[in-house]
This record gives sequence, C-alpha cells and structure tokens, in this order.
Amino acid sequence: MSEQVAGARIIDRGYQHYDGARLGLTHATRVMTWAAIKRALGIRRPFRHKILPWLLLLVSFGPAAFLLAFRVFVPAALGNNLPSYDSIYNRLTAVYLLFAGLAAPDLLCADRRERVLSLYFAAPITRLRYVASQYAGLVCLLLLMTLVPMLVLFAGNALLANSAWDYLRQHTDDLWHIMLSGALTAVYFSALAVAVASFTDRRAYATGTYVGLLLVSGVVSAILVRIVHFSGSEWLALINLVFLPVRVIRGLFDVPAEPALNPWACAGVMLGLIAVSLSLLVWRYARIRD
Amino acid sequence: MTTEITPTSRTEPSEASRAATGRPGPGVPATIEVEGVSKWYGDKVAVSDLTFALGPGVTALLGPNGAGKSTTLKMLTGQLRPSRGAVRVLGQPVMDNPPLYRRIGLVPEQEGLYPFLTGREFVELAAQLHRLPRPRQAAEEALHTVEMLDAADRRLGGYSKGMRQRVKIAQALVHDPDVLMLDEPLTGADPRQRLALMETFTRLGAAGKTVLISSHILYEVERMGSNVLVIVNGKLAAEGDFHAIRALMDDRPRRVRVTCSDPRAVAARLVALPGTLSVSVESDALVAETAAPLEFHHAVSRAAQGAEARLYGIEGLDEDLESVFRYLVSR
Amino acid sequence: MRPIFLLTLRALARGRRLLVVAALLLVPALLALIYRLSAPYNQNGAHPAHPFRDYILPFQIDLFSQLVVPILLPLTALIFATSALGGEIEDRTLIYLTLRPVSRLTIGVAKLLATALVTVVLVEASLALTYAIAAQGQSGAGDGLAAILLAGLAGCLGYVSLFLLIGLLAPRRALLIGFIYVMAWEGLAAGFSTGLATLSVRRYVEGILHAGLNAIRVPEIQWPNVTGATSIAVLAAIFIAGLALTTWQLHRIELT
Repeated sequence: MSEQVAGARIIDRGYQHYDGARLGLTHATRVMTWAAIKRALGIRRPFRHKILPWLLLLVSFGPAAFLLAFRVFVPAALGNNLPSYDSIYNRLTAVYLLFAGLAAPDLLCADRRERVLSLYFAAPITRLRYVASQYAGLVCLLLLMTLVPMLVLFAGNALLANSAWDYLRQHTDDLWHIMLSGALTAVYFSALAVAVASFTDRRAYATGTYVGLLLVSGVVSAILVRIVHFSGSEWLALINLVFLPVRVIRGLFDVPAEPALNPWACAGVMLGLIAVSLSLLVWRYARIRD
Repeated sequence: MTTEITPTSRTEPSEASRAATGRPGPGVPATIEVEGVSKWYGDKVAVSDLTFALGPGVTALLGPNGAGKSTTLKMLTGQLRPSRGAVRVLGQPVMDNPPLYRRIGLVPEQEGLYPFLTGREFVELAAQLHRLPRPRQAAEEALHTVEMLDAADRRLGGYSKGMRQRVKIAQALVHDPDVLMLDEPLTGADPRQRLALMETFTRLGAAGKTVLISSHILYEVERMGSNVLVIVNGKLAAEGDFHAIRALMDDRPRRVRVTCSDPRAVAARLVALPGTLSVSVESDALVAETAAPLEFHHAVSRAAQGAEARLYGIEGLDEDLESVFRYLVSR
Repeated sequence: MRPIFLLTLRALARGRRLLVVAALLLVPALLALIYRLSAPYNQNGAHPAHPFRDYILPFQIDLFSQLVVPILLPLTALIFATSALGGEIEDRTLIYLTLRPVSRLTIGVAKLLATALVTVVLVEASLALTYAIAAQGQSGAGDGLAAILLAGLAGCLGYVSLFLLIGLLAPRRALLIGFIYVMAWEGLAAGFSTGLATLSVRRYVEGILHAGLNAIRVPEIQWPNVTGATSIAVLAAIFIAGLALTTWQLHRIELT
C-alpha cells in the first residue's frame, strides 16, 4: 500500500539566518538620511510633531506664492517694485533659523538621550556616516525651504514675462545666484544647529542655546558696531551670525548691505564657521561613549 | 541524601513574627485602611475597587507587572489621589498631610536621586527634614543598618544600582517610622545583602511596625511573613495568610513528591487511591497529583510498607507562594 | 526650611550650567570694556564735558534695555527656576521633599528664595561689574547705578517667581513655554497695545528703571507708560502670586 503523504509539512518558525543580498553602506546611509528627513517632518509620529515643521515649510513658500499670485491676479498692485530675491531671503531668515533649531535637536539629541547610539554602531554604520546622514537630512529639508520656493518664483517670473526664453537668457545669473544662496543658507544654518545639538542631550536646551546664541550675537554685534570706532571696526558686524548669509546673498545679487563689507570675506567667514561647526560635530561624536 | 520524613514546608514564620501578622484583629487596630479605592486615567483603569486593611507586621504586595502595585503604593503614600474611595494610614487621610509623614517611610521604585549629594548627606537631609533631634547620628545608624557606611561619603551619582537602593532604604528608616512601604526594595542587592535586608524588614515587622513590601522575588518575600495582598489587573485577587489561601484553593489538586527506594512499586499502590489523578515516576522518587491530599498522606506510609520500600521523604510541591501566586494570576 | 534652601542652592550652583550662565552674563561687561577702550565720544578731537552723563550712562542704559532685560535676565531666571522645581519632578526626587513633615509653603518659600538668591547674585554682579567698568574714573559716576541695580533685582524676583510656577505646572515644557513668553509675548507685546503689555514683566522692569533715573534724560529709549510705584507694586504682586500658586500646586500635585 503506498503511503502518499498529502502535502503536509512542518514549518520551522525559529530564528533564521539571513543569507540574502546585503545592500551595503551607501544604501544604509541613504536610508538613514531619508529616515532623518521623515523624522524632522514628523512623519510616522504623533500629530503634534508635525505642526511646527510643516507650518514653517508652508511659511517659507509664502512669499513666493504671494508674489506670483499678485502678479497673476492683481498685477497693478505691485507695479515695478518687485521684492528681490535677497530681500525674501532676509525676511525668511527667522524661518530657516527656527526650523534648523527645532529639527537638529530632534535628530541628534533624542538618540543620545534614549541611549540607542550603541544600537546604531553595533551595525557596520560608522559614527561619521551616522552624523553625516543626520546632517544631510537636515540640509535636504532646509534646501526644500531655501531653494525650491525661489526656483518656483523664478519659474513663475519667467512664465509671466513676455518671452520666457528671453527672460531666462537675461536672468541666468539670477538662477545661479539663487542656487548658490539657497545652498549656502541651508548648509550654514544646519551646520550651526547640529553643532549646538551635539553638545547637549536635552532638546529644549539645544534649541534654546542655538536660538539664544544667534539672537545674542545679533544684539551684541549691533551694539559693538555702534560703540566701537577704529579702522576696520565695521568688520565686527560679522559677529551677527544671523545676518551673515544675507550679506553673502546680497553680495551675489550686487545689492549693498549695511555696513558695506566685502562679500567674499563674508563668504569666507561663513565657510569657516560651517567648517568649524561640522568639525565640532564630528569631534563630539567621535568621543561619545554611550 | 536523606531528607526528613515529616512534610516539609519551605516557609516557617518564626515565633516572634507570628505576633505581628500584618492583619488587623481584636486588640490590633488597622494601620492602613483602604476602602473602595479606584484610580483611573481617562479611560484606563489602573486600580479598581480595592478594599483591604493591614496591621502591624510584614505584608507582601504581589502581582504581575502592570497589575497596579505601584499605583496602590503611591496612593498609600499620598503621591496619587484616588479617583474614588478613601485611603487612611494610622487613622488619618494620607493625601497632603505632612504631619502624618513623620510616621511613614517610603522606598520608591524610581531611581532618581540627587547626584551631587553624598550618601551620608542624603540620609542626613531626610533626618533633618523629619526634625530629628540628632540627625547625624540617626543617619549613621540608618546607614549602618543597610551596610552603607563605607561608601557613605561618595556621591550618589557614582553609586551602583544596589547602593542606590540601600541608601533609599536608609532614608526611609532613619526616622523610625511606624509604617514602612517599600516598592521593589531588593532589586540590585546581592544575595548576602538581600538576606541582611530581609532580616531587617522581618525584625521591623516583629517589632510592631507595619511593613508593606511590593516585590517579585516570591521565595524571599515568603520568608519575611505570610500575609499577602495579591493584585491582578487592578483588582484585589486575594488577601490574607497565603497558607490559608492555599487551603482555600481546593478546586485545584496538589502535587506531592515522595522520595523512596522503590518509587515504581509505591506508585503502583498510590495510583489505586481514588483521589490520585496522576503519578509520574523518576529514578528516586515519584510525583503524584491528588485531589485528596490528607488521605494521600495517610496512604503513603501504608503503600511504602506494602511495597517493602524505604520511605525517605514526602514534600508538597505547590505549597509555596509561587504556586499560590501563579494560580491566582491565571484564574 | 534651611535644608531645602541649601539643597536647592547646591543643585543650582554647580557644573556646566553655572559656567554657561556666568559666561553669558559676562557679555555685557565685555561690551562695556570695549566701549571704554574705544571711547567713541573722544573721537575726532572731541572731548565732551560730561562724558559719563552724556555718553556712558546712555550706553549703559541702552545695554541694559537691549541686551540684559530682554534676553539675559529672563534667560538666567528661566534656566534656574525651571530646574529648581520642574527639574525635581523630572528627576523624580521631589518625593524626598514632599513625603516629610514639612509644610508645602515651607518648600515653596525655600525653593523660591534659593533660586532668587542664585539668580540675583549672578545678575546683579554682572550689572555692577558692567557699570564699574564703564564708569570707572568718570566724574558723575554713581548716577544711575542704584536704578539699574534695583530694576535688575525686581526683574529677577518677578521672573524667578513666575518661572518657578511654570516649572512646577509643566515640568517638561517649562523651558519652551518660558522661551516663547520672553521672545514672542514680551517681544511682541512691547510693540502692540498697552493692554497686552500689562502682562509683561519686562515692562515693569523698565518702568522701575525709568523712575529711578528721573533726573537723567535718556532720549533714545521709548519708556513704557507706567510709574515706578506701579511697577514695583505689580512686580511684588507677581512675586507673591507666584509663591501662592506654587504652594497651592504643591498641595495638590500628583507624583506619578
């Protein structure tokens, strides 16, 4: 008598060894960057974590949206005084600052406070990659705020002009300036924010220190410029960390700033600050023992 | 390996602690009274309709994780306000009643301490706040009781978990309270320290203090006293002497282990008893499950005689607190 | 009361936090030093008759109104006050003070006085140092110091009491709330109607300063429309109300 066992089997549900493809460190870094972006925007988190980031994101699109709307619907109201790109950057500085100050502690401090860093570093992820991915995520988000609205405005202006191609050809410079301004601003505020966030475990302290530092630098530099008068003392205005990107942007767009300083020097100082901030970040994380 | 022939119980409350059983009675007023107490947070009910009374002696507060033990303890010390019902300690309401706190000591579950204080300073602070006439001395004694005198001058920030626990016990004992409540006091202590601490708590219970210990380490808790409060899912599942609780659990058969020279032969005779539900045979003993433990005990020696086997010992396997607890939790 | 007072002093005046706050409070002194060294009023051959009265003191007051009162003073009070009670709740150590035969009022008073002491000492030292650096050797120096110190003291007491209460009511969000209050509410309310501005501590601090400087005109600053007596009364009321509400909350607080 034949024994036909009709398709029965016992499935091994225990621990399985994984033998499939492993995607490598680049993939891991990309995944972590994307996770950082989602985290900063409050995606997959309770609603209250979404309010501020999305609000700030919306506000950053505000000026561009309003300008274009005005130009389309009520063109007479604006006349010929279109707010220039650099003035928009100037007004939105607070928004960029605040976003970076809220997001960076979220990305860096929480992992340290909850002591999960050792979990990350138990995988082949190096400290550098971890830190780089969080920073990259923040920069991407800030680019979304500093670059995209301006590009949209530029595109809108082009389309609303008499001839889009002519506009493009005449204003290609503007396009490059926008890209550079957006990139520099995003990289700068992110760098400062992550540097501050790497020094403390508590999110509130990090945000407070970052915002406080920038505000105090603004007030102090204003006072110093007023009270100190020796040759070259106007360079003290560079202490104002908040206004530094706008100086460079104004330099790019050939708009005078107050007091007039060489934009190349300002850019140099800005890049220097970015370098110092990122070095501090890497240094802090190299030393952390969970 | 010989064992005694008389049925052994792993827990023998000593003579002294029999006097203070943890239960109030005639001439023994209740020190802790809880009436119809419930606590809820929105829709989540943490503790539901608790009613019990405790007197001097050691009582164990038992329950699975999340059962509501910590919530109950916090309501007994005025840290939480019951959503309903009344809590009275030493006859007075316990919420917002600072003069009463002179007579209450608490070892909280949470780990928070002042990292910049030394152990000695921390216990002295407690003594000062309790307005003791000689705080420094009282602190020394309390630290001596928990064996922390050596490390007393190191900062709390550098303490290990066990050291932190002991210093918390010291601050709860420094003012010689009448009511002592401890939330998981034995965690982090090594076995020798645990024995010493258990001795301290037993001694306090025998001296007439009301000691309420919330703990998971059942076999140690049952050494300190036999009065238990079992909380499961926020409700009181059982209270009283756990031996008596065991006796009440007669809808559940007992497991008995008989060590003898010929277990199989003895087992064959015991299986014939009407109360025997099952018998399993090992190399040097048999384990029987019986619904009629008394008859079983009487029958064992006859069975051994009949099987011409030497009887070495009889042991109830689920007389201990752990079995009682498991049963109560699973009901 | 003394043990809680001393405990809080020790808890606040230690470690990195103290250094950071002290460094922050040195900034005005540094600016005063720079001002003295650069002596802008002595430029281009001009040597005014009353440099202190006409230049240095206005600069001092400017520094006080632009840097200390809006930012440094409230920030210092916020950092210490939210930690004094809110920090104890977050660290779960408050039980070691409340489960004692000590009245809630005693706890509240001890915490308030200790926090106030630390804040006042640091802030007043900073103000005095700044003033000393700027005024040193000048004739007419001494004017205005009392006004600045008094305004600083009143501001410290008002802010400390307020933030102590906030720290107790919302321990996890206290820093954020205090921040928003100082930056947004007091920053914006100054610009808008006086109705909203009545709820701003900053306003009354400036009111006290204005009253204290009555003889000395400082034209550049826009003073709030409130008398010195009212300002002192309101700040005292805030101080007492903060203590009362803190005590009330300590009576009913639940420590999870």
